[in-house]
Amino acid sequence: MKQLNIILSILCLCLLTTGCKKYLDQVPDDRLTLEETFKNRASAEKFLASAYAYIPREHTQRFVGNYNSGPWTGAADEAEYLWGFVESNQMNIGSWDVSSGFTKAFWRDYYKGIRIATFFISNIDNVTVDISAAQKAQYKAEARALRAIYYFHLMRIYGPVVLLGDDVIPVDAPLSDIQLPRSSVDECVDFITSQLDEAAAALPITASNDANIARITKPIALAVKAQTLLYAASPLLNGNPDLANLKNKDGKQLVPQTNDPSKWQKAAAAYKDFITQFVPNTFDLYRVNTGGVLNPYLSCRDAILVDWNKETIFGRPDDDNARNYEVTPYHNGFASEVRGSGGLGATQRQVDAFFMANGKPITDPTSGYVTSGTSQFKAPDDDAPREVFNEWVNREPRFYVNITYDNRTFLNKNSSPVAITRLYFQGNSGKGTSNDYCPTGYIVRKGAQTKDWHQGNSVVILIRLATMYLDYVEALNEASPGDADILIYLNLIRERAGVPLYGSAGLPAPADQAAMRAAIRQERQVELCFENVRYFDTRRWKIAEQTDGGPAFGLDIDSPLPGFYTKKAFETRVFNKRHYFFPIPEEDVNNDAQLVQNPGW
Amino acid sequence: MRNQILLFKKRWLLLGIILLSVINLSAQIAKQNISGSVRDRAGVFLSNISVQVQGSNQGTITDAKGEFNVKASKVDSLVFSGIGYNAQIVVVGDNRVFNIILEAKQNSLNEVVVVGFGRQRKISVVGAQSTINPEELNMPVSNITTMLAGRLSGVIGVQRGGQPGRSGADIWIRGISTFGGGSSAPLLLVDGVERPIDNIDPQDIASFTVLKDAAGTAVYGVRGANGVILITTKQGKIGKPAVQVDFSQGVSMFTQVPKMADAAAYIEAANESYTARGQASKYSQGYLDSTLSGIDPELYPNVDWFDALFKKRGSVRTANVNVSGGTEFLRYYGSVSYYDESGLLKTDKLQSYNADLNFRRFNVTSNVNMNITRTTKLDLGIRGFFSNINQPFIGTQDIFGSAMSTPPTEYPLEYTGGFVPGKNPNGGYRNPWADLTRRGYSTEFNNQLFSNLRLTQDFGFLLKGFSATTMFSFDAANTQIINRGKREDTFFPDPENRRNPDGSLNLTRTFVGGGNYLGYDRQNRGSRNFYWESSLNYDNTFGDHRVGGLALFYTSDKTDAFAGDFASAIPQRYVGLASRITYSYKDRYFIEGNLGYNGSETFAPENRYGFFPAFGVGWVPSNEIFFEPIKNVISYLKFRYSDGLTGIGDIVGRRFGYLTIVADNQQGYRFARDYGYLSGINVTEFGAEVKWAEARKQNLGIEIKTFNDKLSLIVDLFKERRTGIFLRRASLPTFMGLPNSPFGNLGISDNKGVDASVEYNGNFGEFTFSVRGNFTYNRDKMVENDQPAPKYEWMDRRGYNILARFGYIAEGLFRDQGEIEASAVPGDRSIIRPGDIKYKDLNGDGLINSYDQTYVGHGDVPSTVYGFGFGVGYKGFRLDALFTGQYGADIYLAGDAIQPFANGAGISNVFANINDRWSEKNPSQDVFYPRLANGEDRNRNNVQSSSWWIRDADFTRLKTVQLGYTLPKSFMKNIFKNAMIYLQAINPVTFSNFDLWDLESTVNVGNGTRYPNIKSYSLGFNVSF
Repeated sequence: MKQLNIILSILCLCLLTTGCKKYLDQVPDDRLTLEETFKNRASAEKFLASAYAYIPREHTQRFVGNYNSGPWTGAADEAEYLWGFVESNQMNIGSWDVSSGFTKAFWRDYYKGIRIATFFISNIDNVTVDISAAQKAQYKAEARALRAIYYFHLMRIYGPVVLLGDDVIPVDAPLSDIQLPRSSVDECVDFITSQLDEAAAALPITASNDANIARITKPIALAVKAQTLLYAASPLLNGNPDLANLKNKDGKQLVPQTNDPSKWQKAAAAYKDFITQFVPNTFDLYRVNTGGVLNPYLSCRDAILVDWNKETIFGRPDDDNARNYEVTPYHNGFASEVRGSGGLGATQRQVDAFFMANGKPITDPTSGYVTSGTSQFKAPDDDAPREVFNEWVNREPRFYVNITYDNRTFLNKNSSPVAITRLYFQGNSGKGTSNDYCPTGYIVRKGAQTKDWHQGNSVVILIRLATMYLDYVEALNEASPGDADILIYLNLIRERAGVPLYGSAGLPAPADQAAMRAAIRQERQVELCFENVRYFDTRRWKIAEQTDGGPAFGLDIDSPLPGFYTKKAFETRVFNKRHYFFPIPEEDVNNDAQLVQNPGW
Repeated sequence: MRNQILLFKKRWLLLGIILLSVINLSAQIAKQNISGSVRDRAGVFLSNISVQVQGSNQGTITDAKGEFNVKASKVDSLVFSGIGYNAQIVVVGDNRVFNIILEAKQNSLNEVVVVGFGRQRKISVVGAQSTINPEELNMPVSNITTMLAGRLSGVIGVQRGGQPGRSGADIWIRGISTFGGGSSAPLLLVDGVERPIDNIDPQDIASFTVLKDAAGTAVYGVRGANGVILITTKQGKIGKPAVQVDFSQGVSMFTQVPKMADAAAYIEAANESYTARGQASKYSQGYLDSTLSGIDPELYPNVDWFDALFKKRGSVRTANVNVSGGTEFLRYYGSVSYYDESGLLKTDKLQSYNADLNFRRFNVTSNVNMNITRTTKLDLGIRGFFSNINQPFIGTQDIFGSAMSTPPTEYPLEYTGGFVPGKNPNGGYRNPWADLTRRGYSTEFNNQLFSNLRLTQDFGFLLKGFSATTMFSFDAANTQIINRGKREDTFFPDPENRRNPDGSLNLTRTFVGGGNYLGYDRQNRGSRNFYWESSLNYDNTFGDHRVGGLALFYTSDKTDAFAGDFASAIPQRYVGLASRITYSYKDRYFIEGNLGYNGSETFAPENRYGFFPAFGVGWVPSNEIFFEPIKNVISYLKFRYSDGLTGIGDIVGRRFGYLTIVADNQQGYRFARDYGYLSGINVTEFGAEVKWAEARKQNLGIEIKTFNDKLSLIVDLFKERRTGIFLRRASLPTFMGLPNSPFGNLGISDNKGVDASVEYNGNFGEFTFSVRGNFTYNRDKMVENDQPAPKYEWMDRRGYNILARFGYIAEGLFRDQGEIEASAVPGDRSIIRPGDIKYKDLNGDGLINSYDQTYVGHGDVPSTVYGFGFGVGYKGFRLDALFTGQYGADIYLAGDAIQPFANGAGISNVFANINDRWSEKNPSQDVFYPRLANGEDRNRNNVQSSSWWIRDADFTRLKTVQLGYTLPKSFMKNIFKNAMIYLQAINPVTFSNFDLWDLESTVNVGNGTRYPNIKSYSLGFNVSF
């Protein structure tokens, strides 16, 4: 008995004293680390892919801030979303402030992309095998270009931003080291353009193969560079007295207070340089001929729909069908592949911007625009004439490309019968039939698929050649009014769109700089509608108080025909001076004593 | 020797009666040596038990091994008595050796209570703890956590729903003291091992203890800061096998079903939501008439969704059989129990599968205690259960969500031919009935095994009072979920042509589902848990001095068997030392030191281990000599104070906080023409120098017994400051571009309050009665949250309680257009009309925006929880009732139905109180709803987060009532030792100012879309034999 006791006691004491020093040392071994990532090419490429991820997925604008997709369509004077959760609707009525989550998303996410790109640039050289120096240089240039593009996006949204340079801020940096001020507009522009130049030097003109078609190329870098210069030349950032008080704590003026016309010159030169280098060998306006004759309707429609067509400079491949759902009408009673929501409506202002088939604006008394009654009219993509409101008759091809109006056949003909969209009250796609309907009476048609809307794959076009032409003529008209290029490139756009050219019979060229400016602006409004251009144009030009404030009109969706044709304000929009820029996230302003808030927020 | 001589004499002198009687007399009066031992029911030898020869001053006390030697004659009686035990008298007779088992007195001061890693005499406990008589938890509920709030002082509980098998309550000890990344849940230990308490059968519980202060929890170190709940299960008792059978069968009902408006009220309100803003009304008079007349329920539906979804009654059944007994060498307790609860959701009998909502559980418990040698004990406990939950494929909360968003007039249950009604091409605005009955079912099977083996060795032969114990435990849990879901096509009548010429409905397909057959999807979860502890114990008395010591070492290792990634597959480990030193003098003065020293793998090696010291002192003046004069008034008085540190060591969702985590499969890019995807590699979390959060807890307690121990009162004042709470650093600017802000030990909170319990037991003749109550109040405060100072001080969350609600202050409803013009409004002024909510412009800038948001409510966890009850007994009858309640919580109303017509489409159900609204006819400020509006845009002003939608969530409920009748002995005829029949009611009555739905279950769901709590009435019996 005693022996057992002693054995047991020794056992207990042993158990107690057995050290467990190693017990907690169970660091997850063999795990992925940053060092490991940059030891081999494949993982480094994936790291670079995560820097690319922040290129905005603009087709998911219904979920603002979702991978940097902006409110740019719904918050411009061209469109309106149905659903209240879409933040552009908060913006439209002025119900947004420094605490609105979406205003912080872009700041947060683009800077994430910037951090990844910067880290990539300073670490890619650690990959030593299975990669050539040229490949490293190209990747480095891609990351550099991405970083500059993200800064450009930040600048468009927030104005002058904080430039972080070539080092990432250490996670454990003392707070005193991260009290950084904003840089001035000129500094931001210099940084972005010089970085893009540096990147462009090491980037290929076209992708090496189909597996890499979406990588950043030299033309992308140079196009964004030109757009940055255009932005810097525009009234919002070039001698804007409204932003006189936007100064750092040390008094540094962030937005130049004197207008510098030479900035237009620089911008125009950058565009001209781009065009000279890449047109027509690399890029050209997309054209579809039917029977050997240019088909403007298909040309304009498919410039958006055909992946990687010759007009696409900067595209973002995406697999999301969110936009398809918005531009496909509800089509009650039809097959599910043509049944969406039609929740993205075009405004009356956008509809009115389209020219008549004769190339004249509807405001021109000689345009032949009729504001009442209906006629039998056959749209370019229809097989038969239909009874439509006279305002929609004999408009230019781009109207039919971009707007789905009442009694129009739908693009996807692969349903039996072919869907015909009815948008009046209790029509198959109108209010009163479903919870999803079009809020304005006109559904956006640009980008609508000719295939089943459920299929997501499509290329979001961020920059195409038409944008570059229209940017160029705008800059040139400001820099050297009367330059022959202005009319040439403006007319290239109109010619492809099947609209009579300025200077042709019955359509004189705009007489002076101001008239040309107006013509260019309307051409942009028409050609580039729903492509995230209008929002920034109205702000660049400082006209958003007129375009984005006050009642916004659509048709009377609460009425059956013919009352439906009556114009009715669907909301009163609010635009104040502070709305030219998003607020800087308040947490950062509160944390960073050097960071000044945008005026009015 | 002497005994043998006496016997010898006896044999020789059997010659005559006289002689015999003389001898007998001499034998009777002759003192003999009597020896033996004294133990308690658990087989523990008791020292210091007085062994007295009755009617004399002869006697002794038992030694440390519980043994005694005393001289007594055959005719004497021995009295065994000790503080805290019922005295026992035995006649010596012919026995020379007595092995006595003493019954412990209930509620005595010498009662032994459970403390961290051991047991202590109750009088010596200097920490704050609450205990409950486990009998009280013996209720027909699946989860005992729902029975705790209001029964134990210091426990705050909120039950988040009553769905069978998912009805557990969230429990906090003395409120919430943390925020950010740290858990606020207490440490739960069953038989000394960290284990869930959800599925324990109440019949198997021997003790239930809550440790509330540092003296109690410091030994748990980085796991103790949120308090500790200790449960021990029943052990065998020496004696013949005692069998107990308990069975109850009950019916269950909802405490309260949300009350929705009928079709007439709905149509009127829906029309007003349009007309109140100058729009055309939606429903015509003809439509209303057709709906109310019920002539065509397919085209003019009129459905009360909650009526359609809910059954009137469900059932609850419990059964338990247990047996216990043993000898001094081996004791056993075994039990099996069964729990079966059926839910209150209807099913479609036409479906070929079973989507009934029910929960069934089968528990087994077995505890065996063996004395291997006289000083060596082996305890083996094995417990386990398996349970099965069957439920509709769509979660109940989703179904109720559908019911809240679907008006009574929207859909019939289904169209003739079994077609599912639906409107949206993307399947939105689902039909609630189809959600419930046409979407398949899901089963969740759980099984868990808990085992522990403990070896205890008494080293009294080396050093008096010294012992060692080691315990190893292995637990395993497995869950298998099988989802059999489907989604059928939906249909709606063609609006242009709703009926075919033959009169049948002209249905058009609105949504293409996945098919009319069930799919299959399986998920598994599981974990295994190893725990091992070894300790040295010392307990001895030196005259008036009593000294105790404990040194304990433990390791814990928990593995997630179905971890989703490598890092979480690594076992979660703790290792630590705990030690305690106690000293008392004459049971008047007590002092205790506790120390926890432990480590966690969450932290970097240099930060891994921490010290958590605590001390406590106690003074019992009623044991002082000077107290004697008033001892007949106040029989017991004790003061105690404790102060010390305890910690909390895990960051929810973030293991290895010191490591930077780089992950593959992050968001990447489609580089290829064919949309080929290259996933990204990126940092997901940055490592940081984190360590445990530390809580300093102070507690001052007083315990009083008076009126001959009939009234007892315990009051504790407590104070806590918690520092180093895990937070994601909020002081880093987002332009750093971090994927996630790293954690830091940055938060600070304060918490203080009081908890108390009072009990009175008395009798009038054959009436016995008891009254009791308890009360917990706490006030927590966020001191630091690492947020930058906001622009205006009123926006700062610091200084408010942790769950404080922030929003606009509603100043009432606009009276006229003039007031609107003169006021700041959020967003579009043109949509605002009289009867809309007016908000306070705190900074006076003419705008209502985030700068005007401030503290508007306390949040959904109450500051005060109380309970009071009584018990009355007369002969065999006994009636017990307990009321519990809460105060200081609020509910934020939001979502479909409670904010009617406010979603994108302007379509929602409405509550029965919809008439309590502002309208042109009723321009009152004192209404529930502001002016109606339709659609998200027009409602935007009124659905802003504001004090308008906050309601007090105070309630008192009759939590349990039990009427029992114990059958008279004569009736039992020696078959049964005891037999009782009882009637139990749970949650029968609730008192609250809020009457739209059951507040408790839905306090964090703004429109009551939770499976409501249930009330039940059960009849049962309990017999033992």
